[in-house]
Amino acid sequence: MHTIEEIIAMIEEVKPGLHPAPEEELVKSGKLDSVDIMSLVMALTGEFDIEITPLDLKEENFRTPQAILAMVQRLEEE
Amino acid sequence: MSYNSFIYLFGFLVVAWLLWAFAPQKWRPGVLLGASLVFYFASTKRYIVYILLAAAIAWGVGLLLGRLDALQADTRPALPADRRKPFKKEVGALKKMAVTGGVAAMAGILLFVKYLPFGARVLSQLMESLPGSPVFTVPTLVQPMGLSFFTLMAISYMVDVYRGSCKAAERYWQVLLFLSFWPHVVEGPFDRYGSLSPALLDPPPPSYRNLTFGIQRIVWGLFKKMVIADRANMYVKATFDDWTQYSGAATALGVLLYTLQLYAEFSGCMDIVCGSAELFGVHPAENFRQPFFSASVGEFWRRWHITLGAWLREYVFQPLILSKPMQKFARLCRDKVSPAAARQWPVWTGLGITWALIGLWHGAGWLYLLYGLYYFALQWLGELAEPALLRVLPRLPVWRKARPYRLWQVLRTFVLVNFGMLLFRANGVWAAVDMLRSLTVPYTGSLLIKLDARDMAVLAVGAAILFAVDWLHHRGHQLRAELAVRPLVLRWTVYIAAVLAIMIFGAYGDNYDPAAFIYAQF
Repeated sequence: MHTIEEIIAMIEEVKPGLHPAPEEELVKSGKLDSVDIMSLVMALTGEFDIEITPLDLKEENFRTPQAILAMVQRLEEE
Repeated sequence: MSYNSFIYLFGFLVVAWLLWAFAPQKWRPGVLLGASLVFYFASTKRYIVYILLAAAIAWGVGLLLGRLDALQADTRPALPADRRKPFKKEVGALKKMAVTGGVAAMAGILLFVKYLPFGARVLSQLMESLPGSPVFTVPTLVQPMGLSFFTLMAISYMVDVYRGSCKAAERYWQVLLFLSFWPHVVEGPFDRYGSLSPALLDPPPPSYRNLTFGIQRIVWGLFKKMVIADRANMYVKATFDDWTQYSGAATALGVLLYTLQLYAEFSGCMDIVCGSAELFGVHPAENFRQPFFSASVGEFWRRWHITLGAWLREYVFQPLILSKPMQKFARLCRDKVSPAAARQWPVWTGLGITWALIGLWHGAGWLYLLYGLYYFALQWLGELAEPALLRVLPRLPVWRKARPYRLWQVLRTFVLVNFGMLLFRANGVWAAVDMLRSLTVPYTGSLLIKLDARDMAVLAVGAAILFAVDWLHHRGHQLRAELAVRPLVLRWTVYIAAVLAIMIFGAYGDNYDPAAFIYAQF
């Protein structure tokens, strides 16, 4: 089971200077753009051994660190 | 039939609206289809066959995907537990085969018609350098109007049905109406079937609001096209086509005016087509969101030609990064280099390919490729510099959220975009290099090139009005809605002033050479 701290650490690696809170909005606010999101996806697939498909690339799955964690947990269960 | 022509505005649009408004509700989609086919046929004649074929392919593939989904939904629950997974896999493989075939067919038509001459030219040049090689003639093919637009919309329809983000159309004419809908078939925007089809297939009844808002938007688009863009075109044409005659301030002003021209023209065209669609209760996707208030090149492209960027992001960039070869590349980077490289290198590779495609989508030529790669280089360098900036800026007396810093970022982006515009408009790679070089050579002649002082004044006032309207939209104002609640006298003063401005200051007549819509050629 992964933790919110792991997700936040990953976001901080992808986007230096960003230290988001678990419920902080990331997409609409422009804190993560499409390039950052794809870098994050590569980090998630590499570190957590999950498969992310184009269908998972919805705004709601990357809206906050908490939403990203929920997506990771769902994909691990599948 | 050009969107700013008399025949379109006062003939086609009026007749289509009257037929649509007075037709029974169930016939209205048929009126839209009929009008779209008349519009397309009037412009392309026999080349209409391309769009009929594209619609047939997209409809057929969509229908097959829909039937496979239905088969899975009906059959799978009744199967024994151990058969369900293999059955899902088999249906999944068939779906993948269908969508791949459809996309390949559509992309194949586009590649053949648009890029074959370019490929043949490159091959011919390569072979000429070999001794005793045969010389072959480069074929030229007529590109039907809107090919680059309806092909990509057909692909997005098939992929959306495959992904389950929209339902497959049951009837051929429904897909044909979506692809050929006249407001978006020439220059876009790239609409999605899922968001546009409800209004196309079951349009709302005619309303005073849609009619007046649509007309207002068309008038605003005409103002941008005829008062600003077509006037700037005179200067731009001279400085870009005879680039060797100009330098310094004359060339710089030419580049600035081309940026103004392209923005006023392309966004003006979008205003005309969105306004046209609004008359019929249809709202196409927006293609511009005040791009010149962007603080970075990445942000600029999220506000400029929005639907092309979104299309390439969703149907090229993201699937490319998630593809098996790219995942393999990521694993190789992780094993041989570092986890950071595994995260970044595949993304930058995908981004480079996507930017190259953005360039080449505009046209088959080296300069367009260079144009795309220029933006890739800017974005890449920006990302590489970001960690260093984060280290340096806190030590400097600069507050990144302060207004002057934001203004500096906006100005920097504007300058970088202007260099991109120079590449985009120049008459070839070497002409672009010459023009860049000539920027440093002082120009001593008059800056009134092909335009007199009155034209320059009209351009300056037009650009100021455009800037002011963009600024108000940027600040969250809904100008048409705000104007609609103002007193009658004020509203009509604005409407009449706008129409008069186009009639008096529009660049048409003997002294001008109105340009065709630039994006219609792509």
